[in-house]
Amino acid sequence: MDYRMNLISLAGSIFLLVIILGLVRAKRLSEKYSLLWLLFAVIMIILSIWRGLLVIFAGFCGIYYPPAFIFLAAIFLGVIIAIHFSMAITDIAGRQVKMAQEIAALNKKVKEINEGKKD
Amino acid sequence: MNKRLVIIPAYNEELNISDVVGELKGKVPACDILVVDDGSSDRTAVLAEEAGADVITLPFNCGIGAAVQTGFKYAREKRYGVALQLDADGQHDPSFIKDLAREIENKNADVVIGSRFLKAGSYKVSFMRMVGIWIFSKVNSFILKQYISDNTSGFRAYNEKALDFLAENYPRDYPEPEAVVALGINGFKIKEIPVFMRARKRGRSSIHTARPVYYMIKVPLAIFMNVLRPICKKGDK
Repeated sequence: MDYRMNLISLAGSIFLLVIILGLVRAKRLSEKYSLLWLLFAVIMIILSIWRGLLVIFAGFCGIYYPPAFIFLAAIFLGVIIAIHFSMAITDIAGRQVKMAQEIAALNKKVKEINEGKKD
Repeated sequence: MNKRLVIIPAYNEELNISDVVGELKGKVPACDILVVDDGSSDRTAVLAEEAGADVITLPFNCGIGAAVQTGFKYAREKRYGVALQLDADGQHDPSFIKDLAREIENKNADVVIGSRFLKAGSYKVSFMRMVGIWIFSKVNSFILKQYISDNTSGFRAYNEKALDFLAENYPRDYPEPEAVVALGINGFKIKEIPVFMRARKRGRSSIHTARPVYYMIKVPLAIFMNVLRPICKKGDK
């Protein structure tokens, strides 16, 4: 059995885990947005180490070369994270518009108050 | 005499907010009251104002931590000597405010937490909640080498020094257990005093359905990260 694919995947996953934890520690990434990445890394580590589980999942999906399931899992998890970020961006964009509207309305009120004082 | 401010973060609490502000007005008339409306979609802000509180309304829901922090920044700007934090759901009896504030004013601590568990009381929590509370008590007490019984209590008092720190460092969501660790690690003196808490009057808690899972992963991670972070020098960001 060739374990090179598993070793590379394991090294990559541990690297990802360390990077994400480092970013959270440095406050460059919030805990909230780190959770899916951490889940990603942990699942990848499990799949890289636990050959038996990989064989079962691969067999279930009709994949003859078990390590190929690691690719499938990585793509799937990556897509989930991408969707999650799209949702987060949509939320932020909505908030930003609302904030701009409120600031614009406040500016008008301040202007009116100032003009009222001059009279 | 130090001025005291009571900060009440409120998100869709129209069923409780009038009673809470009314009770405060009756029991602690000398305290100023600030309700931070966290982008509620109901009449929380209007009712709070009618009941006689000062109200800051956030343009959208920012999380309870961000709401409370808005209050900390307000307290700092207006130079309150003591800022207290109290839940909008009526769980906290304002009679204990004087006890919490006294500990700050007598310089016994920088942060005072009102704990449900320090004296034999009849506070009922569900089993799962009890497990969470027990875990935080063990973890935080171990990290800080000081027994902290009630890490999820939102009934707290702070002095100006603690406010300066929290105005810059306060978690946005589910802040209580993490804030205890952040304060302790950064050298603030924490003291717990016993308080009596009632069951939430009406409406529902912000921690429900799928939230406990998120809560029990996010908060311990955040606590762990605080342990790894370098200590903020006082006055620094």
